[in-house]
Amino acid sequence: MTKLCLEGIEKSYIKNNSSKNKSEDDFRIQIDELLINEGEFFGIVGPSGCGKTTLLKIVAGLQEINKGEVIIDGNNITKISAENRNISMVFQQPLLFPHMTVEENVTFGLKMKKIDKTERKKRAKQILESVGLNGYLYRYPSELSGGQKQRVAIARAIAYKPEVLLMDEPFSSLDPALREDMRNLILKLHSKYKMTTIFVTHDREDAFTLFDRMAIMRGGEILQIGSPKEIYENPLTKYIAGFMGYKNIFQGHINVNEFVGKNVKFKLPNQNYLKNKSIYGYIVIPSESLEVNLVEKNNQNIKKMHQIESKDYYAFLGILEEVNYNQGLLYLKIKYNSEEIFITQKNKFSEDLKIGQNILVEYMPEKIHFIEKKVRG
Amino acid sequence: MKDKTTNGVILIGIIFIALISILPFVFLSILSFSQGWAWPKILPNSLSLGAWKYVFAPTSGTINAIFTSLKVAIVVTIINLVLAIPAGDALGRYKFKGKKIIEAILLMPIIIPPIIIMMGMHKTFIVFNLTESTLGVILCHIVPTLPYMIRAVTISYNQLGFKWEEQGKMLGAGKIDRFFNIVFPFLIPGIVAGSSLSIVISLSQYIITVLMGGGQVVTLPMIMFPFINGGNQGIGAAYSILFALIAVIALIAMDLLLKRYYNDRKIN
Amino acid sequence: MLQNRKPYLLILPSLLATVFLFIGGILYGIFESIGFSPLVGEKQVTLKYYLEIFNSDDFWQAFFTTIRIASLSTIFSVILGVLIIYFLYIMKVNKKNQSAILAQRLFQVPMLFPYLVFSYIVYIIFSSTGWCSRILYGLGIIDSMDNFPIMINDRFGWGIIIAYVWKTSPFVVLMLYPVLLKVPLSLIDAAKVFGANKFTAFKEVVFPLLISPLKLSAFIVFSYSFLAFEVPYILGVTYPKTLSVYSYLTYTTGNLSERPKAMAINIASTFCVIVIGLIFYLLKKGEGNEG
Repeated sequence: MTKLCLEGIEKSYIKNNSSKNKSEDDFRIQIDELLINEGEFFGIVGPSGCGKTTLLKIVAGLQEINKGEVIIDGNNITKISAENRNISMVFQQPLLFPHMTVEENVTFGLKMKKIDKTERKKRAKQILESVGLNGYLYRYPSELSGGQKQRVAIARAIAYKPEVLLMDEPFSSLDPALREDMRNLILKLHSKYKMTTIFVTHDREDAFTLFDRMAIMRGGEILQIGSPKEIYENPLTKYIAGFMGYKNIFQGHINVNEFVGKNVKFKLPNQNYLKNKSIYGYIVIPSESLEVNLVEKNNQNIKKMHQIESKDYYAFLGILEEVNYNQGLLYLKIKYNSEEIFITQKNKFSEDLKIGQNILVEYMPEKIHFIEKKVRG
Repeated sequence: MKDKTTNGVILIGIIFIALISILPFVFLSILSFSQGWAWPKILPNSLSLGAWKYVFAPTSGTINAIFTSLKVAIVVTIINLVLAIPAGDALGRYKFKGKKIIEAILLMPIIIPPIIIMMGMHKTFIVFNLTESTLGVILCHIVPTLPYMIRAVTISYNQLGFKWEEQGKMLGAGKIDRFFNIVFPFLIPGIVAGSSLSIVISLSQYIITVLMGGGQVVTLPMIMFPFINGGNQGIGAAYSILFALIAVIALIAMDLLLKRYYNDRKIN
Repeated sequence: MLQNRKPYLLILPSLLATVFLFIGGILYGIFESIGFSPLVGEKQVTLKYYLEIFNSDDFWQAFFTTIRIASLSTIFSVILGVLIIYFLYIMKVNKKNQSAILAQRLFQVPMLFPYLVFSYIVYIIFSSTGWCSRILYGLGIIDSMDNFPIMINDRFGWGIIIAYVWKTSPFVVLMLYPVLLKVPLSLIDAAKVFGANKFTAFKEVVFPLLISPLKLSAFIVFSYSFLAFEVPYILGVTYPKTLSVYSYLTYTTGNLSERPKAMAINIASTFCVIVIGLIFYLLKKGEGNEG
């Protein structure tokens, strides 16, 4: 069931009228269509300046648009101002009202909705318990820590019982150590209250933990929509691949049974549809789909090494450049000809690896994803 | 959409404010150039320079009064600066016992008009031969002006804190160097604000100058007074405008002076 | 340790000046009002002057007149000040920052003129032969000079109140404006998202932050309009006078033996203001911490 629909949205503004190079300071946001389902936890991800906060503000009604429509549950709310939309928001800063108690802050929206005092008090108690702040009803924002303040802000947004809940990088002003707790809190709240939520972030960790589906934004436009897994497995562009955390990205062309880059070659299973053609583009190789094997003093691996050129064995030889051990996993950097390959795997070695060692790397060709290079990469 | 009504309201608001701020000036200007302005005419019967000629005639003592007023105002402001800069330091940056009470005492004159104080001091001033002297007038102008200077400088010191000076100390700057290169620039906004108030308030004083000056120290408000309290309206208006101009010129001059001093120092 | 004494040393010059001139003035006033003027040779402490004024109708008339004028001036200047602040708020919320700064500066212009000149301005505009009366005649609203309501030199003190309000509301705005500036626009956005329109956002979010400086400026305005001299001198009537005019005339036109009486009036007035100030202060303390 579609809850929220954004159609044909266009907003542009010129930041600096007196600048010499006008096109650099212009900002445009253009969304052809974005549909969000009821109860979905939807993410908007992108680098700073890509327009994600602006998009959120457009949904909230805090930002006017040149063209387009915002539709909730079939009602066109484009012309309705922010205070009359039933949408709440959590901002990057808690933005609690300094002279009000926690209770008054949390029930502010309810007061605006003219809900009576006893009901307000009841809801405040419930919500504060859900965010783990019971007993804080009568404190003032100045008495709270950053994390507590943000939890009050979240409580305030949820207590409002909005049609859509918006969150604009709510963890960015918090200690990194707090963020995992906050993510779990948000997940818990989402499963309890099942509100349609739009969450903006530039943090990949947030993306993979929280989102049902997400949109990747850049330069005011949406590049791809899908679940985090879908986008990870099938990034549409090189940029999106980089954004999803791929470190192994190579430019070159594929033909019927291999990929040929500038300095590297990867065998691929038969791409019969290509026949005699070759297509130019990029491949991305997930770091966790490669496995490292030592060659020295290991007869099994030496045998494998001699099979490198054979058709069905997918492997190559490289030299270990860097290795990092982190909480049970190995993060390796292998030099393959003059390219760097990044690998993440379980630590299966009893001894420490030595820099400069010869390494046999096995890869899974079905996990290699090819992106055709279009005019706009 | 809604914007048009808001823009309309804003426009009306600005017009209203402009009216109540500039209207007085407009009225006074018209009045000062008027000759015969019988009721119920909206505009004067005729225009003339008569009022202004009177004001600037040597017999009316205007020029002397202006000089006296400025002399007093400037000296008062300088004394205030000398007193307030260290006081602002103490109040703005240090913590010490009794600070609240001392601060209250220093700022109290803001609430109590100087006439009450001066009626009390009158006899003392007589005994010390301070009445009918410029010095006496200067001393009594300090009372209503000093607190504003202290308050303004305190706020500047508050924003300065100690950290910049500590940096300077670590980099080897001595006390005087630190004061002029680090502290003083921070103080300039406070000094400008405090001096502006000090000058305007001193220029505006009337009754305490009359009381303490005994009529011998003649300032601009004193020359103006008879025309303001009945008397020729045109002349009263001309004096009022003159007063406003003098105040504005004094403020601009002071502002430029301070900024120029600071810029000179900066280049050094 | 010398370091501990430093602030006291720094503050000493100002403190000395204030104590000698300001506190001295008050103390001498108190002494003289109780008959203790060693410089003139009178050393007998007596309360007779206070008794004299508390028993005189003149004094009480002046007292109530002054309270009325000061209260009304304070109330109107606070209202006007808040309205102007609301207006500046609307401009800020509509992102018209330049206009807001311009408006605020414009509004400060009256602070440049001394009370003296202001009394004059009020006179030429609002007297029976003043501009306002002429305009009303021109519009056909009144048909003679006498029909224009008496606002200057009137028994109620309207002229005085107008002059005070015109000159002190910029002061109120000056005190409140920094607080308005400190409110981040994003806080207003947050209020909007939760259902507050511009007016409600002001009422619920901005105004509570203004209450504290508002009280302080109200007290300063009240105190000044209660005790000041020049405006009621020019725009007031012979009867009833304000306390300040009453005191000054007693001091200068009465014979020397009346001077202590003038001091008593001054001290009584000042005392009244201080008491009201204390009431304010205690009320404020009782409200507790607002974060």
